[in-house]
Amino acid sequence: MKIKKLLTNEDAVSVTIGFILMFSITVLVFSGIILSFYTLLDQSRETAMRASFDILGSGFAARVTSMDTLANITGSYEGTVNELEYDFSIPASIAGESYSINVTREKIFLDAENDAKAWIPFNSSDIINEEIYSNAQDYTLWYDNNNNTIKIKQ
Amino acid sequence: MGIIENERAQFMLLAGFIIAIGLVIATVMLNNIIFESNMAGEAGGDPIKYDLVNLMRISGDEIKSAYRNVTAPGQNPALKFSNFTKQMQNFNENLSIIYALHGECVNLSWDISNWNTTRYANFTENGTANGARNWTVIENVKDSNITVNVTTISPPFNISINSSTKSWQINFTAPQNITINSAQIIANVSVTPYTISFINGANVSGRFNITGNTSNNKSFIRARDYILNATILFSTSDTRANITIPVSVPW
Repeated sequence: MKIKKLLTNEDAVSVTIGFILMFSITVLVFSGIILSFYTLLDQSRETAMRASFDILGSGFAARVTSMDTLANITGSYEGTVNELEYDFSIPASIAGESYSINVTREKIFLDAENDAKAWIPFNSSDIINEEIYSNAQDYTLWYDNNNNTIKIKQ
Repeated sequence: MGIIENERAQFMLLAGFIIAIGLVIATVMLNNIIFESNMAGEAGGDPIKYDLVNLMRISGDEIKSAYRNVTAPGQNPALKFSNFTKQMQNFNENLSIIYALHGECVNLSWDISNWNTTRYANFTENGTANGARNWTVIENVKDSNITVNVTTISPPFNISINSSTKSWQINFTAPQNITINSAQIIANVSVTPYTISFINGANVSGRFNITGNTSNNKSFIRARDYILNATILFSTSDTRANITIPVSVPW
């Protein structure tokens, strides 16, 4: 009887306290959800950037390798490359971040401001040592026959 | 009506479940949307290197073919340049049409000044003065006839014929026109098959023609008169190329 009485007893019940408690719990739960979304967004952004860098870098490596191969094949014919140019565009930003692409003979290194990085290994028989930035989107890859060098211009 | 008046929280439980499931679905969808919207897009198509390499090869083959056609026995020597130009122009027109269908602009031009001025090729691997000096013309030869017409020479230059047992060096010291038949070669190298090589080919220019059969009974022709130059102009919406290649004729 005493327990049943305790359950139905409303002596210490306060609507104000109940409201404050419910409001606080609601705010805490919403804050938790929003924070978890932000964490999720950051993780997604980094994953997306790395994946995009891999795709972008591989495409770029294919173009440089193609130019390198063509120059070498022409050389094997004892021919002359009077002009060889590829126009290409890169996205101004990936996941809202601008980035740089550094190309050397051994690798393509993509680096964003939020420290997302990617290395694409490749091998070029011609000299290439260039760094470009995503702010200027349109570039031209060209072959300098006099110096056996692959260069990039805007 | 009963369920509406019921105060045992069935609606609250139902709403809670719906909200929970909705949250899970929204989270998964939002995650995918965020990932996709952050992707950089396409990586760029495959470049056109195979098209260009193919152009170099077929242009070279066509020049060789045109030269052989106009210098074949029975052809009028007075018309050789005009007939050569006709065949090449026809080839160039067809090439432009075929490549235009792929969205590629192609133009082929050719330089026959070496032929026009009778400036013979060097005896290097590719016929140019800076090509490989010492090179093997053909291996595994069963029988062959060699015709060499040396027009300019700065000795040493020799044709080296090597079998598994003997080596025969044919030395050249002055401009000359010689023919070596299969019987002479066998007499000097004793056995077949043998290999024919040019040594110090950059020191000499002229013409050569080697015909015969290999040890597996396949006929061959190795011959060179001139080096002609072919220039290929190639352009697409994002690519421009201008490449000049030397072409050895007739083979």
